[in-house]
Amino acid sequence: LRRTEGPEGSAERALLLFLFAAGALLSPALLLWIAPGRPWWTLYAVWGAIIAAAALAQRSPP
Amino acid sequence: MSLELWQLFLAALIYLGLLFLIAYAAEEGWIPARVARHPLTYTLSLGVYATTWTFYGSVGFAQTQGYLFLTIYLGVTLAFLLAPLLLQPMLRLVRDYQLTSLADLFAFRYPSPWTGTLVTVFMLVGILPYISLQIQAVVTSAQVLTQEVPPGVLALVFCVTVTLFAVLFGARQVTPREKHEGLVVAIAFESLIKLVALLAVAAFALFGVFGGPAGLDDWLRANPQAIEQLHAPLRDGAWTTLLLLAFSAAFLLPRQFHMIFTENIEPSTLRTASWAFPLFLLLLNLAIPIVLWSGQKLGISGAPDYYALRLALQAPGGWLTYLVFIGGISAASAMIIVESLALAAMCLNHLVLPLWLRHSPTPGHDFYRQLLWGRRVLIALVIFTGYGAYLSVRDTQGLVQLGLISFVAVTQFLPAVIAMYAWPRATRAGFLAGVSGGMTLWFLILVLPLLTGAPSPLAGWPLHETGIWTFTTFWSLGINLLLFTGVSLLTRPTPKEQSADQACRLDAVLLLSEQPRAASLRALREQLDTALGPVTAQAEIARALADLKLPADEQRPRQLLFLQERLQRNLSGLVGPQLARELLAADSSGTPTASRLVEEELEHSQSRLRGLAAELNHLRRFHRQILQDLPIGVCSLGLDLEVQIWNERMAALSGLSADGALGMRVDQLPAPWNTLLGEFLHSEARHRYKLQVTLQEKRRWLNLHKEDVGVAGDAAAGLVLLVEDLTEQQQLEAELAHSARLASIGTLASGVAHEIGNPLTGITCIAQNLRDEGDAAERRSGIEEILQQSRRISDIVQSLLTFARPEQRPFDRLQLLPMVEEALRLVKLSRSGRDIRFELRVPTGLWIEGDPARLTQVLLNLLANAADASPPGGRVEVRAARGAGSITLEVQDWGSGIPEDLRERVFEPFFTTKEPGSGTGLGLPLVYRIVSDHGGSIGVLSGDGGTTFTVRLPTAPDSLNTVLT
Repeated sequence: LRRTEGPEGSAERALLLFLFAAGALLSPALLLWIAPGRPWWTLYAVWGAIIAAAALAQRSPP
Repeated sequence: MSLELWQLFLAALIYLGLLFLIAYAAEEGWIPARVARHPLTYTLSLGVYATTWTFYGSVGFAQTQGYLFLTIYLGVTLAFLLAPLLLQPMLRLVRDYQLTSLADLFAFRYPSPWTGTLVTVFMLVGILPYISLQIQAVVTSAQVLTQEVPPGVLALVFCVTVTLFAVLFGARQVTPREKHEGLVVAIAFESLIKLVALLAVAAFALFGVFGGPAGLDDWLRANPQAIEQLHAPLRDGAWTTLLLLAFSAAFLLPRQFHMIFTENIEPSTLRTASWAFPLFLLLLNLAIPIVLWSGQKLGISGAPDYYALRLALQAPGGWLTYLVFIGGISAASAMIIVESLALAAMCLNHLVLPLWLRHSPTPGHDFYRQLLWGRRVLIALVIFTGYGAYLSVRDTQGLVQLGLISFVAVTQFLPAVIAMYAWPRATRAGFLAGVSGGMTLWFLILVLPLLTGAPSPLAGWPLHETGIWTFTTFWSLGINLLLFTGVSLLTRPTPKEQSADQACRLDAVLLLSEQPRAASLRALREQLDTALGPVTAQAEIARALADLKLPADEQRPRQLLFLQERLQRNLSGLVGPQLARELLAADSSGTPTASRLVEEELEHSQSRLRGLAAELNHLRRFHRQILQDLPIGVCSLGLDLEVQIWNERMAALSGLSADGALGMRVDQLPAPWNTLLGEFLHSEARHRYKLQVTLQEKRRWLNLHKEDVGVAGDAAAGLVLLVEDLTEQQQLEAELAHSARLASIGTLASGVAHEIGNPLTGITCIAQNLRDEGDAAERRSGIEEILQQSRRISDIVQSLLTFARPEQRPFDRLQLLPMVEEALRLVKLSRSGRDIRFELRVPTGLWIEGDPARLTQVLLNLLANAADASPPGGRVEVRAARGAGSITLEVQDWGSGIPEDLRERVFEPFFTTKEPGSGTGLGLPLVYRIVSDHGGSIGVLSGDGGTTFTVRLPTAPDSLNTVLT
């Protein structure tokens, strides 16, 4: 009666990823990306990293 | 470079013509399905989110609000990160229940005639400014390029063209539940054009204006305020509020809902889109700061919204100008087309059809065509209402302001969506109150000032200093939430709401809605005839039958229930869930069903089950599999004698598959099962053994068993029938009996031959001697010997006859002791019995019933055998005792005993351990036969120390009474 991991796994991963992304995009983390002296594309880089993590999470088998 | 008006018209027309061609090619299959249904095509089609606001307005937004413009796309990213939790369940719901718009979705979860209407009206009011924004952007972009443009005419031509496209490719299918591949491919193409145009103008700005990345870096170092201008608004701006608005808009804007859910062809493509769509938005927005800075560097005059276009004018050759202009057209046209389709579907299902179907006395002949043309007219009406809104509010607001007004409007539906997944207590009254309250505040704060030019009457409320978007979002959502939760808690969910809630929630099992059962297909057809007309009713029933692969004359109640459920879902795709529910709920002739057919729905929903529910379902499937694989036929019946379980053994026995049997009443089963099971069900017997039945032209033997399950009123109550096939066992038994008979005949024959052969041989020898014998005395002696041997043969034959055909005489009531004494007396007369000491321990008063002569024969045989087995001077003991209902008689000797390997054969005819000539081998078989005929039993215990025969005979009835009393 072994149960394989179902949609539960991908939903949990999605929730974790969402929480990390929200943490990265809201203050105080946000203030880090827009601190004086940061390159103008830092916020884009954070955004890109979130997307990359989402892509990796989707590609790995649930 | 300056462009002529006709050149712009021509470029726009060529582009729109190309769009028509692409859509047509996809519809006709000229574009391969693998391209049209590719995840990237689906992802690009979601790019309808990026309108002229993104294409032109983001630059202006960045100029005034810095990086706040990114919130509109980061919010979408957050929403798509939650795709497995938020979007995929919604997609499943939309597909399962054939919901075609947001209004359908809310009308499904919060069932009320008012839900869909309210959502539609609010969406119309909320989105119309957004449509007018697109028209305004197209006209302004043309005006940037040439001053010849008469705004009204250009806007009109644009509206007519997109209306034509939307009607031809967005309302091509007869029913809104069908997918439009052409539309999806065309919208994806438009997204690609937008992306290419923006990246091209950014590349021109980077290399043409700044001279490459190094030049941009140099300029930024020289102008640090350019980056600070982007960063500053984030520190105290409406960052979080805008993220929330964009999060909601990502799937609640009608066009987004339409492309994500309604036009989704392959559900798996949403997995790819969950990261690829945010990537598309990231690439699109990479261009914005570069375009802004290049406009600042060049000191371009005019609104920064159109920097991209003005920058393109600087490029040599003019191709970039055309590309950017076309990019703007594509952004506007895609939005208007999809938005008008979504709004038209809502208007049709929730404004027009309720009036039409409820009040039209006679249904139209071709309902489908009427629906199609109704939708087309509504598409045009929506677009031209947007055109009217453009004429009334033009030049009063920036692109971003108009867009955000729509975002705040759709955010009012977010609490209701979250409650769909997480709050079963939410009611339609709460929904209506919450959305109405929120939209009222939205109207008073954002729309009224736009229409009248006067400040909002709520402008003085607290938090107004935080900015218009935070202020409006806080108050509208706050009132919305307060009313939604408050009214929901004050009201109770109806059964329909509870059923819809169960269908929506992630951790719940999808259950069939409780509804009256249709009595028959004819009743269903008549029910639909009145509302949809005979042609449409017939077509919808045929479609539902085909979906479920059911025959046109379906009568099984269970299948009729499935059919009714399927019809409701199909009709939901045609006229919306509320009307579909009303059309099928009108029947009062059917009987309400308590059975929810949980098993089927569990199978359907198993991928959605979590935690304990998933484990229990796993266990249920395991047990169900055991039931299916049992080597005995199992048939479970509901209270109305409908077949609910028909396992594989049952299917093999009957030749009737489970699909064919499930849902049938017992009397509907094919012969002979209808009579066989029907008679058994109506009989008192709980078991029937070895019934002979002819199945598939073969004779079979069956055992039937039945057992009640549950109690009346319980949904699981009913009967379980077990059908045991004994055919093979019966055949084996028959073969075994035949073999035993043959063996017995063989033994008998050899015994007879042996026992009669010996005296015959003796007679033959004596007769040969007598032929030549002259002495009279010898002759007499020989004749005596022949007579003696003949008597022996006669005795054998007589014993054989007695064994084979016992003489039947009526039983007498007999006392045991006198019979034993008589037998002892006879035995003592024989040669072997003379020297034996017999000990008699038989009490008086032991009564039996039987034939005295035959029972004496039993005693005589047993005592004679014991005497024969005993040595001279040996001892034989005869004991008797009364048991419970029987009398036990034991005859024990202390002789040599019977070898163990021969002990089982002592009751076989002609088997003997005595010397040849001294025993016939019929004594003990005869004893066995007589005892059996008297209802008793005989056993033997033997060892080296002797043998004991134990005979048990029933006590005479009177004697038993004596004992009991």
